Amino acid sequence: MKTDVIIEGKNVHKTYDTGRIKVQALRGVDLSVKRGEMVSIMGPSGCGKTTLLNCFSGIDDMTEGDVKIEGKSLREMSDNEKTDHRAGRMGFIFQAYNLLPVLTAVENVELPLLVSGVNPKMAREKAIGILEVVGLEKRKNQKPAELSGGEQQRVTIARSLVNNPAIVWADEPTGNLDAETSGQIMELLCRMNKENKQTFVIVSHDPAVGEMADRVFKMRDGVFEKEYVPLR
Amino acid sequence: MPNPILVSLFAVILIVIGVLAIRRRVLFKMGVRNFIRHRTHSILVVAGLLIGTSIISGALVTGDSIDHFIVKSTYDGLGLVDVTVSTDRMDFFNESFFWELRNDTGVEEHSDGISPTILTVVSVEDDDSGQFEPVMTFVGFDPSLDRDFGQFTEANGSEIYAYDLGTDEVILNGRAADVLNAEQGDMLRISYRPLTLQGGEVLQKRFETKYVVKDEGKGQYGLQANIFVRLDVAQQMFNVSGRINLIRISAPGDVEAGVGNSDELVAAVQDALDSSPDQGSSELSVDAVKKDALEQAEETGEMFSIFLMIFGSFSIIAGVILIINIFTMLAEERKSELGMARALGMRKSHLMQMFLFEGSSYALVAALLGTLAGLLLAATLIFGLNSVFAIGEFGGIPFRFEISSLIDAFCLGTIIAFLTILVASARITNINIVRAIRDIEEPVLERATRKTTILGGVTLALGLVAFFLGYENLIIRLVAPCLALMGFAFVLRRFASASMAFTISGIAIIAYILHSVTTFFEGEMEEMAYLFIVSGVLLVIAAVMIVIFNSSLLVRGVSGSLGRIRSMRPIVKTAVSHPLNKRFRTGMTVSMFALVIYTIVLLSVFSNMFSLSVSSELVKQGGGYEIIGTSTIPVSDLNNVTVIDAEGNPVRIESPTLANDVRTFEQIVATYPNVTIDGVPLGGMGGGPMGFGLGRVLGVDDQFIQNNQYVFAEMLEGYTDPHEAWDAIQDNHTNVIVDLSITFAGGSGMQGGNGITVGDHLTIETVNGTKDFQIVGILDQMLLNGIFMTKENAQAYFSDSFTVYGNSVFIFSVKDGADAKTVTLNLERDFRAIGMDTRYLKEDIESMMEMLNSFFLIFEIFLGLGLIVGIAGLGVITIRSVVERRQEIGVMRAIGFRRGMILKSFVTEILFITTLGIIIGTAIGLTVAYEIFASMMAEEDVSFSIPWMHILTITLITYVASLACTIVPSIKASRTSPADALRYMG
Ligand SMILES: Nc1ncnc2c1ncn2[C@@H]1O[C@H](COP(=O)(O)OP(=O)(O)OP(=O)(O)O)[C@@H](O)[C@H]1O
Ligand SMILES: [Mg+2]
Repeated sequence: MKTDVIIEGKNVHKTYDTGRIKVQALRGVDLSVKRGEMVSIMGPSGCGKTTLLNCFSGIDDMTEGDVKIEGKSLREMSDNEKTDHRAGRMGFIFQAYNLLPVLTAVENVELPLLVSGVNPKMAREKAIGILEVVGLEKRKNQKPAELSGGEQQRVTIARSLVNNPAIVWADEPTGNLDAETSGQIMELLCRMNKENKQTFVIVSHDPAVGEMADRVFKMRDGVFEKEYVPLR
Repeated sequence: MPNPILVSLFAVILIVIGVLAIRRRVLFKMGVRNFIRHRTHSILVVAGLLIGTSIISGALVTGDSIDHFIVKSTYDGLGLVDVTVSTDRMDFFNESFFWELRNDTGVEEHSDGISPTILTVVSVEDDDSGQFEPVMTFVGFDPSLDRDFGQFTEANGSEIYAYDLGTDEVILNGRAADVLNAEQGDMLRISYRPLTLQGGEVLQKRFETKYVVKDEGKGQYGLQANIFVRLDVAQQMFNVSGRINLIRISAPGDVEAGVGNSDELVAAVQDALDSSPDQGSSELSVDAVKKDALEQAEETGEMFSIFLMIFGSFSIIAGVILIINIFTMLAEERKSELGMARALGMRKSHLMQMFLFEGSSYALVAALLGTLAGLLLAATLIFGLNSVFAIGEFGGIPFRFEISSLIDAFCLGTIIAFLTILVASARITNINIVRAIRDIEEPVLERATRKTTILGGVTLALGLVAFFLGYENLIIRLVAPCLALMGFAFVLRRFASASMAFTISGIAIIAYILHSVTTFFEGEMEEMAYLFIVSGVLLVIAAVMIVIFNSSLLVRGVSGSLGRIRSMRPIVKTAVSHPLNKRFRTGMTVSMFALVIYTIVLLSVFSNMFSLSVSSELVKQGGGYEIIGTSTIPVSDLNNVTVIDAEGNPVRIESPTLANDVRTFEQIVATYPNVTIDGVPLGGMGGGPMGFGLGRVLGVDDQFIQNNQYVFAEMLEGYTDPHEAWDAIQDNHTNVIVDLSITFAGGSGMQGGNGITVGDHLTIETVNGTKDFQIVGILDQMLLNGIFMTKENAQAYFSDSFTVYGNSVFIFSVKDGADAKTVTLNLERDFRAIGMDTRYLKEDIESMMEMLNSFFLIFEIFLGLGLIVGIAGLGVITIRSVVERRQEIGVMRAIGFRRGMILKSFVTEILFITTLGIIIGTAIGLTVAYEIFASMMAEEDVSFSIPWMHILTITLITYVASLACTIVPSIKASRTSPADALRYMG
């Protein structure tokens, strides 16, 4: 079944309660994504995009509602189950901080494989292979601080794809990059999506990025404002 | 008096900080606020810092207490007595000397009391309680002449001079009454031997206990169990009418004030004796006993302090490293803050001042708390010492401290911390502004810059120059080449990688120090101690340098081992990468552990070897005998001793034990002449019939020579069989055999004594003047200690000495089936009349071993305090790491690290650092121990052995403590929510 629903979130609420203030970051979000689909979530700063990604991927708890990933309810999963699921089935690209500064590029990329118990030799081979795909095999022994912003982001993408995940969550994957580099990165993501039939959920406020997806969700104040299929 | 240098240095520091604070009030406020801001952090920092001060303070206070203990014992034991006159061996001399001194105007002027005395030992039996004491101090005194020395105090508190003491009455002091279980009115039997009597006869005399007096004032003279009788009675008993063996003199002033006047008194007494017309005055020596003892007290206390501080110095150095480490971390944490401040126009010196203010706050608080903690430490140490040595009998070492010691410790602690902080601040404020603002790591340069190369060259040159100029000084000879090698590393950096350069120089440094340990570790004990500290520190630094700069090998090693476990792979990867990324921080932390572990391992190896050697020595020392007895009254034949009882009836001593349970026994004559080796007296004080002198001559008979199975440690060249050595002393009366203890005489501990060996000559005072004797063999035993010659020779050479008229040393071999312990007790009881004191060797050895082991354990625990520094350091690092790595933890959690894996990762990192420290410390400790062993102790047949169990225990304790101190922040780290962590912006 190629067109099954891989992510299904219903009435997801998230309220940050710091004790001092309460922030309703998500106020009833419904989102379902089909396997192999690339969706993007767009909206102004502070509207809840990162929160959505965190709640749907299971790295943060939601206040209300439920999300099913590949048919399994996040609410019913323990922390370890969610963690293992992330290790085996998901890839992440974060908004700001992505790589472990003490590890080299290739060590960063192979880390998810080691977590899932792949043998070190294979992990290293695979990591180098994927670095080749993102065009960074020459930089594999450099540490993040010794890479440019775009290169760091490409290493991040390599890492998010190395374990051949079912779902890749990307928060502003082109955040601090210039238009040209940003274009290259998006092309890379699209190619991966097409070639490997992986599901992508991409958050961005940049229309040039968002419009590359199969479907676009516009967000405002913690809810979806509208959904459309971009014209290409 | 507090040490003026320390106090003024402290004052200077305080003034400098004060002036700076007033001039830059803002910086001062910022610094102090930083100190207050992070509470847990500050507590850990202070905890780590205060250890150094507490060790200093603990060492000084322990010294104070021991000093005080000896001072108090001296005052108690001597009372008003300041000066004594006697012969070296407590021989009897004419009472006329006493009268001359008493009537001498010079002595009169400088004294306020003088009294004639007979001081010896007797055996006492209480007929009412049935208890006996084979060796009790016997004091013959004249109650009226003794007036000036104060009164006795009875149990009910009334004070007496005891003028009414009758001819058959005695006074017992508290200790004597205790051992005899005696009460007032008890009938006592004293066994003794007058000078004129010989052979197998002992006299007994009955006395009634007239008074039992408290152990106070003159009642506790010598801090012994004392029995006091009238001088005329004593003279009559010992058949020495008109003679005495001691004159006690008091200098003007009370018990304590008299000391200050004792020099004049000694001079006056000496003058009076010199001008005496009577013969024999030259035999008499005048001693300022109290003053000498007090000086000894101060020296002993000081020695103890220094000893503790030398051993504690590794912990103090670890504390210094901790300060540097903490400040480096503080600077890293505030790097962007600092960069910003610099960009806004703050000077380097301003930043430095800010750190200095903050650091001084830590230093002052820590020094204050450390000084107080030192009191606790000292109290614990003294408690430990008291329980080990069971000095309880004497009231134990009291806990005492001088305020001046506390001030010294406080000042020294602050000064060390302050200087360290000064250096650390200078280092950390030297930042690149741009990199600091963007919080980028300082780059690792491929090749050294010109500046560092030149600096390295200069260091290299300086080191070499210092080496050649200061070659005579051992410390310079040790340190200068290491300095040069470090400089060389920086020069090498120009052409080679850092790891290559530092590995080469590290290996060279280690090689040089190990070479030094074997070649020039001789000389004064004190110098040796400094060498020991310096070489330890250098070795550890070099080893840590090598390890840290070869991290890739290390990573491969760890991944290769732990990484075999599949689930550990990602954990190991992150856990090992972190510490190796922050080389300086890690190196410092590892060094802290390594230094402390190094000292502990070194001490434990030596204490173990020492105990082993002592026990193995002692076991083979029996020579086939189980029991040694010494009698205060010599007898010619133990099988034939007659006591002439108080009624004048001769009674033969019957000993069923000797007849039935003893297989064989040897009877040996003993005498205590003055012995010198190359003009140096052997054994110093403690000779004489009452002392345990090294200068003891043992006269042995044919039976002993035939029967004994003693083993020789060394024999004159050419001898192959022990019998040849024994024959040699029979054939030639200038040949002697000695026991092993003589080779330790005059030396201290590991230094191996005076280096006496076979073929050497001893000079002994005999009746025919001084004679030289050649040592033809050294027995491998120390329990029966003395200089062995034949009985006939001993009697010929020392016939004037009353101790030689018979045997006073006996060794017994127990029959199979008889209980040696019971035999020991029975022999003592059966022969109580001759003052027989028996020892069951096995038990003696065991209790001695126990004491030795506990003693070492106390010191090990003291050293172990240093571990607290290392562990506190690890705690600080972990707390910092958790904060620093929040985002990393977030990423790790997001890509699939379970909570438990994050925890494991932190624990692995902590264990990694701890393990490095333990391995380096243990390896260096064992290596140095072996080197010292090989160069100093190898020829003594002690084998090198490693107390693995002990080291394992230390290791375990270290691990557990490290984990206990870091587990809370680690758990906190594992609980980090990934969503929050990724949002965290530092
Ligand atoms: N831990 C938190 N505690 C309190 N409020 C929070 C927390 N995290 C996010 N918020 C608030 O929730 C709202 C949504 O935040 P979120 O990070 O999802 O926005 P975003 O759409 O990703 O914005 P941006 O495009 O700037 O990244 C914001 O108003 C933010 O202030
Ligand atoms: Mg966001």
